[in-house]
Amino acid sequence: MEQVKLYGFGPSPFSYRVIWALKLKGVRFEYIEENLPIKSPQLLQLNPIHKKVPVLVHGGKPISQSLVILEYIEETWPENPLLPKDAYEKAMARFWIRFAQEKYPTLNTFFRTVGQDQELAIKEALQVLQILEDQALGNKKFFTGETVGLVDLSFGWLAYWNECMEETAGTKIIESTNLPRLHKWIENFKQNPIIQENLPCRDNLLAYLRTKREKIVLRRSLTSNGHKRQYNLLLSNPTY
Amino acid sequence: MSEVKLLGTQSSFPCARIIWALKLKEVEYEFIEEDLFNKSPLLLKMNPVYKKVPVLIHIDKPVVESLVILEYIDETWKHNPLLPEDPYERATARFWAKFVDEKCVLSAWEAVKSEGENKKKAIETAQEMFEHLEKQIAGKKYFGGEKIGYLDLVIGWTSLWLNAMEEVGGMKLLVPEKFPSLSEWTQNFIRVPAIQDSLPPLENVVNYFQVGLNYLRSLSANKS
Repeated sequence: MEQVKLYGFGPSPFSYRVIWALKLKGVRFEYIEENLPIKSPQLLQLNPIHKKVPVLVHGGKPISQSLVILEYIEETWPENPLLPKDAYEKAMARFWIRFAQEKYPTLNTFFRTVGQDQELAIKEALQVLQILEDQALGNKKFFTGETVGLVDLSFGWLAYWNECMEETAGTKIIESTNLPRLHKWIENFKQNPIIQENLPCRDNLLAYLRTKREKIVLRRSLTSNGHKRQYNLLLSNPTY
Repeated sequence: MSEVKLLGTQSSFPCARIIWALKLKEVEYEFIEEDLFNKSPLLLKMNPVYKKVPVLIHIDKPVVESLVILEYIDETWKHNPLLPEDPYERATARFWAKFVDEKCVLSAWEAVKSEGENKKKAIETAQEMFEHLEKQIAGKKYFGGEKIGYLDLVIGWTSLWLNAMEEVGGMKLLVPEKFPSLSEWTQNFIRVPAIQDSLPPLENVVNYFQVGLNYLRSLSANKS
């Protein structure tokens, strides 16, 4: 049995996509936490192009980009399949997986903005979420049927990180009243025993997000008040 | 009534990828040319999320996004496989396909759009991206090995569309002295019969990109 290692970062939902896939397949692996933003020499050697986590290393061979890793896991360990067998259903799943990646920035811009920019960001996020509610999820329990699959893992951050981001930013976007099916999907996803056992510590995540949010708000107030010098000093201080 | 239809435009390279794949698999299909400034009800119905081409319609069911379509074609018509069998090699091909679409295409287009000092920087950035492809193809006839495959189809736009971009942008990115292996690969690629028979005329693609660039410039002019 070849060794499996995963280089990841605790607060990163992309790392968790891979953790979930491995755990759902019952694959034993060694997890190595990267101390971002400082990148280890191993990470830079394993992912020289993007220099990012997650990186899966199987039998000494590295694979990076979370969605590429998910497909690799699905093909290497076919038990407990996470993609449909039918070619068309699989194509639909891959479409939504790509959609999840492409719309990720739009869905969390609200966290990186304040004031009117945030209001616009929320409006745009809601449009994307409505597509998920109506077209991706429809009447299904999970995105590809009755069980958790790769599409759910791709959107998994919405089920946990998003509510922590909303709590930190003081917003309320996904609710049972406006997005009932997505709201129910979030509950169902978190109730899956493997997912439940493999989520980052909420307090740690909130603390991490709070620090990020404070910087965002401070940056906005400095730049809008014309305090560019203070803002640039802030940027140049790596310990902030 | 064709079992397989492809909604697309002759000058679009994501559409070309699909034409090449269907030809390599010897699949009969009906090509339906779309006017992207006047999208048909069929396109809007078949791709309501993105409203873009290409759209493959197989027995009335639509598949969209060129990389998704390529994998669907490979799984539906299994002869002349496009992706390797080994999962690690498949992951490597998918990794580079994402890299091409997310980094190479965008950086090349950035170089087309930019002007002055920004253009010089944009060209350098784009060439850094091509440097990675140069390393990948060095010592190989095709990205797929001895026969063309998925990654060759994904990178195939550099064989003609990049020339058109260079003409529209008034610059040279794929300099043979800097990229000897990649330049040689483009020559090998366009000589493959399935590819050769389906390359659109260069002037059509030049026009396609010029119209696109003019449109983008008019949008930013209206904003300012």
